[in-house]
Amino acid sequence: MPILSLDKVVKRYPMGQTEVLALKGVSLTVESGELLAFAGPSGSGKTTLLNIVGCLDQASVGEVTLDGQRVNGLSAAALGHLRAEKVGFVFQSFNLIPVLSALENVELALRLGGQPPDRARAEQALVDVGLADQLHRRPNQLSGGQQQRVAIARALVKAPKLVIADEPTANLDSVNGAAVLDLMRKLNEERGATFLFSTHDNLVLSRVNRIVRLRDGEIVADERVSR
Amino acid sequence: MGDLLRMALRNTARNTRRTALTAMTILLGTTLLIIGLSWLDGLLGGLVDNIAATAGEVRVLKPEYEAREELFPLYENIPETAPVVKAIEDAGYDAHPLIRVGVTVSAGDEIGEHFGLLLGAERPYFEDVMNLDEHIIEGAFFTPGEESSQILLGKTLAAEVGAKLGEEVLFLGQTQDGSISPIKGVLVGVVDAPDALSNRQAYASLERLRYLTDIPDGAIEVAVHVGDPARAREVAATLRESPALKPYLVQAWSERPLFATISDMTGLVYGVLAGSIVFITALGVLNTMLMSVLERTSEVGVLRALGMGRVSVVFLFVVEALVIGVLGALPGVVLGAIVSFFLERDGIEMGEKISSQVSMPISTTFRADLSLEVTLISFALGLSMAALGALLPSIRAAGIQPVDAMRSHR
Repeated sequence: MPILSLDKVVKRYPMGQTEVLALKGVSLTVESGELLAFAGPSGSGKTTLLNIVGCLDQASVGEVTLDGQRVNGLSAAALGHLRAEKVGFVFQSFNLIPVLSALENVELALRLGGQPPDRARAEQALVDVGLADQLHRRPNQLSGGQQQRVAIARALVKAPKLVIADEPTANLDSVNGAAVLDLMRKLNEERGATFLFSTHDNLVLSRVNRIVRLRDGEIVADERVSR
Repeated sequence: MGDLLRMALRNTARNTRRTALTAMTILLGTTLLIIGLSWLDGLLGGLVDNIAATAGEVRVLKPEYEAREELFPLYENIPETAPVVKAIEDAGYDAHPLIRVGVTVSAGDEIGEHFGLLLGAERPYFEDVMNLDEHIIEGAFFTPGEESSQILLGKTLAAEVGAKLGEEVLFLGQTQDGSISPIKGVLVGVVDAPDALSNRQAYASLERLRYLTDIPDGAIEVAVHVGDPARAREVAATLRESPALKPYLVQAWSERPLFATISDMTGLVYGVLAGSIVFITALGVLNTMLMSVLERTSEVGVLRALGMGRVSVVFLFVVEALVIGVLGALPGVVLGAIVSFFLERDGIEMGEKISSQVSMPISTTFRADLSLEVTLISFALGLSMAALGALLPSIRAAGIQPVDAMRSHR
């Protein structure tokens, strides 16, 4: 069963007196458990597409279905609930809450996801990403790679259907970037969560099972890769 | 809720300089509030005390006199005070018949150019209610048994007239039917009362004033000494039930039109003062909280992306502001209370000129009146400043769309 489907999705942004067409009728189906990367140069529409499938933004035209639920026309509050329940985010700049420890960041995501407080589960999520000894450190006491691991734990703790990672290795060196990607791949295999990346990093592309290439807001290639 | 509180508390420590500045703004606002409000309370309280000392907390008089009081219509008097006094005393309160008339005053036999008020009452009124015996600065209080030939002068009037102790002072007033009527009295003492109005008055026995005004058994009003200004309305209501007092107006101090107006004005000034300080301080808080929101746009975006609702975002910033509010309001209350304490203890001498510009018993020394109520109000308003100042930035923060926040971060 597809976890995500997009049908002729168009996204327009107003820019001064004119409009920018960021997506020009994108259609796509993603099966549950896929490890997929949207690749393309800057301005190709990768991030716009991720924002729409992550319920952070709405399509101007077209239909988006996430886990069987039609997303178009939902109110901001309903989108927020859907996002909290079904989508995990890993951001390029980690975006951890600086005043909370690693453990508190993960716990917060759990609670904002509508789940009861569960410290043991949050701790396990951090153990799973190799941060068992860094639970009580604040983000500024962690390296970039460690912060991104916390972000991954935060995204996965609520067991979302979909994990969206926008350029997850952009702020990491190659060693840390590879480690983080291997971790996400492992979690994808173990838990069956669907991962969607946006990237132009070959390191990412070398680890995914499917690469969707975008150019000027359109899909120009959709390749499945056997690993 | 626990997460939000934790975040709000820790956020206050993120930029300590800004937090300290905001807290200082609130501290200043709260300090000004507590000083201003206790000062106003002191002014009104002092006025009430002086009214109680000069005219009783409750008074009984003819309604026709009250209607034109500023003209001293002596013919609208209480012709027989005995039944009135008895009714009041039967109710358990002290009653003091009073006659107050406008007179010219001079030392010796020449008709004077100086105008003043002459108050006639029995000795206990001057002694127990006005406490004039404690405010004698020259000479002595009335000699027992010789009150009818003696007079006291307030220090302002004494200075104007130039009367010396032991000298005869001539008062020229009028009877209740309008005839010119003189009395003389030997000046035995000069009074320095706490209010300027009392210092512009002369004091003589009720018997002499009855003679002057030709009201042999009566008085203009009967002052009721309650002992607690706050109970004045309740006592007035009780006295109105007495059949002997039915023909008269029984009036609590706060029901006198002039003082009711002053009370309303004080309430208005209270509100304007508090409102202005809260508004200006809230503007300062608003400025710093807006900076915080701007700096944390992407963070709010992340929280919204993770599922935080708008109300929670507002709560986050308002609680943060309230924490800063407590940090500012607490020392503000302490500082304001210390200043108010000294203003209450020592007061500020305003001199006769300022307080003698109005025909009310305003104290010559302005004192604050620090109370628990003012302290709590000031603290609560200190927190309101913080909450008010944070509200607009918080609503702005709550309106941040996650996608815009992410875009702004890139």
